[in-house]
Amino acid sequence: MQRYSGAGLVETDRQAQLRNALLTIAFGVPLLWAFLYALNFYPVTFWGFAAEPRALGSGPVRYYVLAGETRGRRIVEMPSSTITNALGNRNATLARAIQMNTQFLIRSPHPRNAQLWARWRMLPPDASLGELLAGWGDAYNLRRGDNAPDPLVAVRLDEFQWPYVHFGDFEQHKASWRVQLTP
Amino acid sequence: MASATDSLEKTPAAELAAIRVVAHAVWLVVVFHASFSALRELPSTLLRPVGVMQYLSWRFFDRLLTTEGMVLFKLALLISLFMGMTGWWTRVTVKTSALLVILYEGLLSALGGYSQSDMAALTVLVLLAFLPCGDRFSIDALAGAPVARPRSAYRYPVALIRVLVAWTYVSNGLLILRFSGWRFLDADNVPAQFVAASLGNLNSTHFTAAMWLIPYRRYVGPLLAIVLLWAILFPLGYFWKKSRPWFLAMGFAVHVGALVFMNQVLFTSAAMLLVFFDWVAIGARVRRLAGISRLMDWWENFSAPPEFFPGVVLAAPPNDGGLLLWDGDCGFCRRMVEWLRAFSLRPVAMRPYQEIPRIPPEVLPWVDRQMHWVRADGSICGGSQALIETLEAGYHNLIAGALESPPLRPFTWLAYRLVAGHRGVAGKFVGAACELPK
Repeated sequence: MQRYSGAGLVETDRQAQLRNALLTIAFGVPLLWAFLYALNFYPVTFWGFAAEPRALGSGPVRYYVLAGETRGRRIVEMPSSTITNALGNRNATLARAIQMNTQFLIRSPHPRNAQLWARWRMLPPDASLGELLAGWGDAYNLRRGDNAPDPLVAVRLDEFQWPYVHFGDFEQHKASWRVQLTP
Repeated sequence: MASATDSLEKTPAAELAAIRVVAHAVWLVVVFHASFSALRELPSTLLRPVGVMQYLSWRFFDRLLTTEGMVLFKLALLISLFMGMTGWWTRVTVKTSALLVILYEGLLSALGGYSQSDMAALTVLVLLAFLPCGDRFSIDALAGAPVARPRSAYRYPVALIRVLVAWTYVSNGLLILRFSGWRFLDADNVPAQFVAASLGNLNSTHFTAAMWLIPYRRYVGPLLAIVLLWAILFPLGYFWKKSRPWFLAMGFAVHVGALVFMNQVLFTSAAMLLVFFDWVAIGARVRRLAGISRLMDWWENFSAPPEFFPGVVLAAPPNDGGLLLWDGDCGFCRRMVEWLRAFSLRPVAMRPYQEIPRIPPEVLPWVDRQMHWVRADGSICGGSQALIETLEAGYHNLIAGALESPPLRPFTWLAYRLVAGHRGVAGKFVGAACELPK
């Protein structure tokens, strides 16, 4: 067992400077690399908030509205920030990524996704969006509790488009998905 | 009031410790607020692991996104971050916190992609895992042996953390110039992005301020130019004393703007501005408040007795084993020594300090506040360390090892100090009154 009989733990100036130098290199070089090439390799990142120009006329903006249907046939809006709040703004990018099937297109997809793709031969559009909506619906019901009145029985996601040509005409409806929740 | 640089010169270890508290507290709030049970409802087939997360197996993600997995994950995060924040077993918990938060952010990134705003706080947490940030203002420091490090072990890391956080703004500003140039200031660029971020209900918040900004968008350009200048000049602004408060205030204003106009909660990013605060000076001000001052006086008296006396040696050391010095005037101490003697598996020398000639002057002021253990080489330790070494000398190595283990060591110290500081009350329980003058 270590006994501190003398001056306790002693670190020399040289040891401290060596650690400082190593940490500066270990953290500085990857961050500089990420900045110069504007690349991310988690957890190394660059900071480019609002850096890309996105002026009007540069292509439409698509966005989503998540809603639920209750057993009493009410339509309730389901802001994702009240369900998967940990994701924050990433809820929107999650929906877009799943709509575009990107989880199938990565270098090493989940084995079940790989099997599905092999079985289908051709990847259907928005193949897993139903799973995402069911997940959101179940999480919403879970948050309200088992005995909550009027639980959700279905979840609906609507996609809208803003043509991004002028400041108006924000709500062009593009597509809808609906998933019946299992009781 | 001392400036940030002044206090960094005087107490660099405390500045680094304050940054440890801030960084861990920020993540503790984030994790506590996050609904892990909702994440569990999302199947692992939706994941798209990024960066280092790609090297984890799918079986790991399958197990993580279960009820048990998420409960354990959140619990581990909360415990580790709390221990890291309070500086409890710091050497280990700052590393586990960094690792677990990398995993947590990696999981969120695997679902919804990168969140650059969280990465500054994450990088600071990872940097802290390799720094001596638990030497001060920590539970460990209460019972720890003296630590002697040069000032460069603290000063440079504090500066490095501040440079790192400043880099997030500078590099962001430079990338805006690189990718957008002057188009960034166009009336139809950022205001249009504001509006886009206000549509739908999958955003963090649902402010509609961007909509009423539309008629006034031509005034946004000059404001954005100020924000861009602020970002690029941030390090200069911080290190020039007069502009420092303005740059920090502007930083918080920018984050509030992002919340209201972009519906982005940049909580961790805004919280990282706290690393630029002069926490030692703030602590000194809080210390002067009436109620706090009394509390701190009590605490400083309570925790004053040192347990280690570096370089102090008893003139006539015991030849073999060690020697326990106790207060012969105290009935409670006498009862405890009798108990220790009976409990020991082999004889341990124990004598009242009153019988020992020439006790070193460094130890003498504390002999009636705690017991002391004299090692075979004459070196001395006191309080809970003396108790641990007495137990060890009595062949109770397992108990001594447990009490001295890093997770329990601060509580051994606290328990000893509570009993030693309240011997009158403790004496009533064992039927032996402390006879020290009140």
